[in-house]
Amino acid sequence: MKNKVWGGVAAGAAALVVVGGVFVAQTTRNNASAKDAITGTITVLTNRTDMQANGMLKKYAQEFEKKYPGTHVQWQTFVDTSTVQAQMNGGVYPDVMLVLPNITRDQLPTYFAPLDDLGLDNKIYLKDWDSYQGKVYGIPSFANVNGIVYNKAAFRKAGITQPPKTLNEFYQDCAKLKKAGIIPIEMNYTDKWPLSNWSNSLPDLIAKDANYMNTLVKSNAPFSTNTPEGQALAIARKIIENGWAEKDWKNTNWANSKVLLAKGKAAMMFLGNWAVPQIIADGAPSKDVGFFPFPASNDGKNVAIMGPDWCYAVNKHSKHIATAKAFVKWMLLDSGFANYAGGIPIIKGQKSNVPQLAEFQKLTWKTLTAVPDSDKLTKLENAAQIDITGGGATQTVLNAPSLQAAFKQLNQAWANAKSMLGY
Amino acid sequence: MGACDTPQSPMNRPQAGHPVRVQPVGGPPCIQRVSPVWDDTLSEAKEGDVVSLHWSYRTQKAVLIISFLLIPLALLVTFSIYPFFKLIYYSFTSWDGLSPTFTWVGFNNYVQIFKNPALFGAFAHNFSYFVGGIVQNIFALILALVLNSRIRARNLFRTILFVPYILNSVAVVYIFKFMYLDNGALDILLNHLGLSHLETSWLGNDAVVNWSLAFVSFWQYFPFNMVIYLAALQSLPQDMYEAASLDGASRWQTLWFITLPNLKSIIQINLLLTVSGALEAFNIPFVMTNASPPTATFLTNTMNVAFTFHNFGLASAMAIVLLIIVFIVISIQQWLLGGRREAA
Repeated sequence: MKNKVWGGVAAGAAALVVVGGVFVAQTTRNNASAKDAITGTITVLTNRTDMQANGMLKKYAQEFEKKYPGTHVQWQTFVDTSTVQAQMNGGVYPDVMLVLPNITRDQLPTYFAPLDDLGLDNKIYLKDWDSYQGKVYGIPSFANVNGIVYNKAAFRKAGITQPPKTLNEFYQDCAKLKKAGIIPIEMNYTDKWPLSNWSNSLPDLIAKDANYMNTLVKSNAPFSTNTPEGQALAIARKIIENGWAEKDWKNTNWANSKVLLAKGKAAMMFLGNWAVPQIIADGAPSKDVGFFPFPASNDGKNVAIMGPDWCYAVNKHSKHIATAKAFVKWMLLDSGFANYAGGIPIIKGQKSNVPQLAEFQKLTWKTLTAVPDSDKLTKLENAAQIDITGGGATQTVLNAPSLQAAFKQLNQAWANAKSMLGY
Repeated sequence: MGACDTPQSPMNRPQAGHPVRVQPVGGPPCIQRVSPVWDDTLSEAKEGDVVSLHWSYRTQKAVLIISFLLIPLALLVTFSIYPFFKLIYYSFTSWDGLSPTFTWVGFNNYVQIFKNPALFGAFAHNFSYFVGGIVQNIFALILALVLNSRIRARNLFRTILFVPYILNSVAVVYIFKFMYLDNGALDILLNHLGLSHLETSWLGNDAVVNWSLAFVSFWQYFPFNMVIYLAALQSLPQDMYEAASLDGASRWQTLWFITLPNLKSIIQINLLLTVSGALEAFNIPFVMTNASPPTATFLTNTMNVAFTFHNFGLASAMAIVLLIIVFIVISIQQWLLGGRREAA
């Protein structure tokens, strides 16, 4: 009798294997068909859930399909990169991808097809951002500069006639705004990512060196009042300590704080040009929204760093690589997405139509091109569990009992990680 | 004449592909006796009719059970058991979540967890959820006792009190986020009560914030405990209470000597759920404060290690450590409360 039961179990197991086999067979990709023809259905990844809601994504798809009959564009939006990462682990991911932040350069050829045959290599900024061994795998959808987005009406109300050119002027303006009953600068502590500029961009601006962050791996104690990294974090902390941030600064809400800025109840946010259209969308007249480089020093020579937004890449396992590549090219050359997003077009010679960017250029002494984080720096940050890129480090500093206590904690973790990795 | 003595009528003759019992419900399994002598001459069966009959009743039972279990087992294996073994494997590697290679690092990850105060220290923040959970159980039990008595409109009250548990968890967190705002609902309420000196930054004051969060957890999950207590109370046999009242027991005596001892195993189950929930507090700090440093729990730290610092190996080890800790705490709790069920 026992044997028969086991026979049944075996039959069941066999059925399981068959069912499993069917699933495997379904997910195996067929790479053979029609690689070079611009046709077929492609899936395109995007972070712009807002553009899905307002129909812009659909409009782009229709325009592309009109130019290349026989193609069909399906958008896939995401809010959290971990879902996309899970797809990549599974081996089946969208045809047009965005390069996720944790993909290291040496992994690029594992997932993506080279884009050099698009013929754009000499026409774009930041060509080397996502390249490996001389081949380009990712092209930025547009470029951004970081700086302070501000409400001109709020500045006028506080009696400020022009944006601050030095750090001291910036502090004075904060005090004036506070006196006028306006939140001088919104930090957006709770959302964490808006704090990343303080830990990750401001140090480069203070050092006037786009490669400064990569030099941190050499230092045993990068967090001190003598280093640009430490000075940047100290500025953030000074803002909090003087009450220049939101009153309840540990309980903030990104959507809400945009509205406050649009209404002039708050004056500034340290973000990027991409935020300008969002503030306008929240109800501020375009002429009242301004943008200036962070006055990181007292010499009046303020630099800006131009870095990429999300970078397009093409899935190397895609059935329709040619279509996917054509779509990337179309997005960069013909879609007008950079202007829609308020960004700097990545194609050299394409003009931005955002007035705030022109204004920003006039106030900038020099625009530097961003340098990607070295793999060494990324590994060190991860091992030390100090979230410089995502703003977690700023949170730690703002939340600590004192600046010195925070620096001590961070330096300790940094030094431990360095010895662990053998740097 | 028993059910099995009747000749097989065409109606209940097993058809191919339907190896089922043929006797009326409740009768003895007769196909077992029939099947060995069943052959083509006896049955006058049409072609293809008889194959399944060579399976014994036991085999049929096994096939039936297994085929019913197939889907749940497949799901369990795919989404629980297989990932669990993978998790153990990852915890011994330094996998970054994406790379196709896995480097074996032995117990390195486990050593790191205990060496890093930032990771392990987060359990201090779980303490408020633990206390909140105990209060939650007491509160739920009292409400269940009240609702089990003969009060007016008790079904209405039951429904109203159960609502927090049905609400979407993220929505609840958002509601409380607005309540805790500066000059939000809670501050206004305190103002009206003349208690404005109690006002604080509910999510900003490090001494208060975890209690604010634990309160949300309390508010949302007490109805669940309450319903379980209520169900247990309603299943208690009434004759015990009758006997007690005949013996002249007071209400307190009935509660203390009859109700609570009978509820002991249910109280244990509720505490088990509450304690493991407190150790695994995640969604409330994650949504409400984005797990900022003073509110980070062990589980939000695990998420952070995996998805911010891309160290899936360490995060897997943290998940295993959490599992072991939950197991230990629950064992201690069972031991303290006397694991065996006592008959009342």
